Amino acid sequence: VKFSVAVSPDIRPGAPIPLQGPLAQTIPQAAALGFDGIELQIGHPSDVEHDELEKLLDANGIAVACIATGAAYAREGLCLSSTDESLRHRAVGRIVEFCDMAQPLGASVVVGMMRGRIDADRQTAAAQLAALRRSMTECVREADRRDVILIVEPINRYETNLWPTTRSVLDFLDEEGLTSPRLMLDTFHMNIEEESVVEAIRAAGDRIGLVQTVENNRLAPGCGHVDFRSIVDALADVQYDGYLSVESVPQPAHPTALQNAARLLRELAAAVAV
Amino acid sequence: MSSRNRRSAGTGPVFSFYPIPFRGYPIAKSIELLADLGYDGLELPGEALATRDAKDALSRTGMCVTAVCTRAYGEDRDLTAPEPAHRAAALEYYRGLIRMAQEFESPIVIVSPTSVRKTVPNSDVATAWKMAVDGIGALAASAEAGGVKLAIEPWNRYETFLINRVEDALRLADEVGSASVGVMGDLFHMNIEETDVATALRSAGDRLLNVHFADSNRRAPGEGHLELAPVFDALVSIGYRRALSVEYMPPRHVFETTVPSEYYEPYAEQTIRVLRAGWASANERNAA
Repeated sequence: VKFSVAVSPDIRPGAPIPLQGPLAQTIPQAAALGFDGIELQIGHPSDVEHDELEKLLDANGIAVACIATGAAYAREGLCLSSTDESLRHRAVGRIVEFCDMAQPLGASVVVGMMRGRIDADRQTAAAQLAALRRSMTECVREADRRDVILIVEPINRYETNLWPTTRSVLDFLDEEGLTSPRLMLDTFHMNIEEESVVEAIRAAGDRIGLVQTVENNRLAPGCGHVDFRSIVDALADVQYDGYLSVESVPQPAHPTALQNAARLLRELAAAVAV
Repeated sequence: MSSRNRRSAGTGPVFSFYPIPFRGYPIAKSIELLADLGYDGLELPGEALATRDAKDALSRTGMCVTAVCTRAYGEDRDLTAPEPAHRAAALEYYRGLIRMAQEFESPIVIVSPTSVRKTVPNSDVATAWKMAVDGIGALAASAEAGGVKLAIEPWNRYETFLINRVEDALRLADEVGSASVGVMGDLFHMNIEETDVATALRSAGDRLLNVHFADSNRRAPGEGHLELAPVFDALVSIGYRRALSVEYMPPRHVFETTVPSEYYEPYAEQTIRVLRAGWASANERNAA
């Protein structure tokens, strides 16, 4: 198992991104804290300067675990379930651009908030879901062509009304016959939505693409009551060997909380030799 | 009314239920159903109710009202609203709830200083905090005169920016500085916000006036992953004798326009068994 931390080149107050600011600062910080990789949170590939990124990754021995795309929805409203066909095309196009960027980095691409929110009106909702099915099929086809893994993230009820649980994402992928996407398991969202966090991990099994280890209060592991021991145990049972990624709100006083989180996760993982 | 005394006599706690999930049921029907299931009382939603029917059902069943629960929807029920007229309306709303509590012999009115889903302050947190202190301070006088206590309820970050944790509520109560203002906990919100749920309950001690029971996913206790044993142990350890009040909520997912049938009798019945068993076990552990 490997360890990563979320970084954003933009300052996004309140966002669950521990390291915010220029990559020239955050990538060395991630390395100094002992992380193996970063989760790059951007809205467009042009948010980073690619030569600089590669140099920083090389110099610090850091990999990109995934590119998280929610900023494209927050900033530009790019949405895979849009019934406005031109907007939907742009959203799919953005995912494809992210795949192009991810491919040489060996990173995956996350579909989170870009799924959008579904309207209360039944007819509109049906049209949105049809649009989302088309978009996901197109995105997966393009990702497959590039050998890039798409990772779909369940998100809690307050942020979107679609795919709150692991089961809901698995069901969607199965119904659409989409076999290559993997799941993002975020323990903050899981704490709210899953009947059993451990059972959800077992159900996702070898389809887990990335695990975001975050406390119930969205702080770094160690600052809340999430039972990371049982989570790491369950991940070991399903032979998960990807990243444990810290995607927490940058308070209190990072980097102490991040150092503690990294140590906690390493100790738990070592105990089960994931 | 002697009814309240009949059901709530003894060493407590009082098993109570907030009948919001019983959508479509008249209040009298909810009261009778809850009495049949073995509940001692209920929380009344802070809305105009068919009070005659409610009162008749209460006296028929011997059920008590454990709290009047705020329905803080909209600016005119928001003690931190920027418009003075809205704040005045919010005070009037809560004074109405205090009168309702007196009328129904409810010991408690639940207060939240902000309206539901206000996740950013209108101007800044300090201004909103000051308004909350002023508003609850003004209400405390009315509550005291009416023999009612105000319970400040923390909500999770997606429902309010101001009071998310029991420690926030305690600090607000401290600043108001009235014996008729205390705090409460809702396990669904606490599971999101507290560093440790049981520790937070203990920290409130005898200022804990009410507890809402729901599981981590806001379904009935037992339907999620919240560990209830430490919760009961904490309540027993602080000598809690007030209401164990059930407040699960139906989902609002895509296409869910009706309340799923299990949210009516099945969950209500299952929950009172879970609560009674949990309380009894905690007392056995405490005695051992």
